[in-house]
Amino acid sequence: MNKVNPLHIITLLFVLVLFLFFQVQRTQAELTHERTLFLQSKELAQKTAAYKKLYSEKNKKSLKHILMPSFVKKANLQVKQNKNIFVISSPSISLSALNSFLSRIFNAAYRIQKLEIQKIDERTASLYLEIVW
Amino acid sequence: MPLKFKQESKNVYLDAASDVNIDTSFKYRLILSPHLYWVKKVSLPLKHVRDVKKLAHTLFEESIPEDVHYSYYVYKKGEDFFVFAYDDKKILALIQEKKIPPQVIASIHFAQSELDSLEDVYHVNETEVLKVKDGVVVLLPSAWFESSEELDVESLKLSNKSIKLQQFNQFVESKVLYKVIAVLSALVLIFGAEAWFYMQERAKISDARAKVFSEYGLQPTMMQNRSILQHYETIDKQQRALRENIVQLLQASLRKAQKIQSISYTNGKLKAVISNVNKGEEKRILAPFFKKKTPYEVSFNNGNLEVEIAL
Repeated sequence: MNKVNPLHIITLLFVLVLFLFFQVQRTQAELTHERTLFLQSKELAQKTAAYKKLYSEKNKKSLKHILMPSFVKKANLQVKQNKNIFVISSPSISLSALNSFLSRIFNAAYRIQKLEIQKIDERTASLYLEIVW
Repeated sequence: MPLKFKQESKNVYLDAASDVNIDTSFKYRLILSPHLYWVKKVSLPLKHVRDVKKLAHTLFEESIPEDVHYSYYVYKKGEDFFVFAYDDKKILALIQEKKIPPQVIASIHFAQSELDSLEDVYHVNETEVLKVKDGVVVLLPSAWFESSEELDVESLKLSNKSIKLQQFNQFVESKVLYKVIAVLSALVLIFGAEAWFYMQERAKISDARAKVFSEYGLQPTMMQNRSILQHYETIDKQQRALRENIVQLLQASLRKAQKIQSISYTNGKLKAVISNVNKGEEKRILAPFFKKKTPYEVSFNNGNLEVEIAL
């Protein structure tokens, strides 16, 4: 007489199946969301790391390499360096030296904050350049 | 008061015409009257009870009503098989009629299996007596016998041949119910395994994401990280635009007398001054900017063209 009614077992199993079905839907949605978050985080991290590397302080070394004393003297440049800012100026620089200098600056990932070039005559110009990190 | 771990059990003979006194502090082993079942003693060339049970319904095909759903029970004694057919609903109805609570019922036995060793005639109700004839327990009219003894079931030691009544209405056959249970159980296993797998995968991806955060030194929230990335993207976009636009200016189609007098960049704005430009010529000079849809503003000052480009 104490035998369990199979209909009760079926009801219980049915409820369990329904619960697990919705649990599967929920966990699947959560997995998709987590996967999307992971891919977004990874992409964001890689992009940020690439930008940080591109505009990193390591560039200071290459800038110092450009601003070799011989070149600075030849191009009549004045260089001031603070913690995170380089100010390069010249009251009178030859256009060929200016062209050579700007080519090097523009071909590297320096963050130019301010630039002023004023033509003085057919051969010379004045220059003011701020590079920041 | 000491704890009562096991309730004492009593034997009760269950018959529609007999009275039953139930004390709910006891458990009861019910012995079903022959009125409540059909029995056949058969000799078959089969070895196992389970094989006979498969054939049970065919043994009663023409001897029991067809419109009733019967359950079957078989046991072997010597060389013979005793095959029973019984109507669960009929027995349950009688149990209910006799006001026997289901929880006090310890087991249910057939009179055949428990009383087949009786030698005399036993009085069971006003009109019938119980007798064993050719090894089968049968009910006979009491009028056929001059005397009969009182049936004492209390002292009987019952066998383990008992049945379980199906307490539910049989809309469908038990086999179908068990198949449904099997299918549902399989679904529970499949869905359970699937949910477990997804949870494991999610935990793995979550760990990998945490690793990305620590490896790249990201900020705790995505909002902060997006803001940092946006900051770098803005810088990069401006720096690229600055270089591209200066190159465009230097490559501008100028007449011999026309010269770039100055180029300046500050606060995200690129300005250039070109000398000796007549009104209307600016379209030719700035054609590359127009072609690339770069927004710019122009103004004239003493024959000089002033161009301003917001980066």
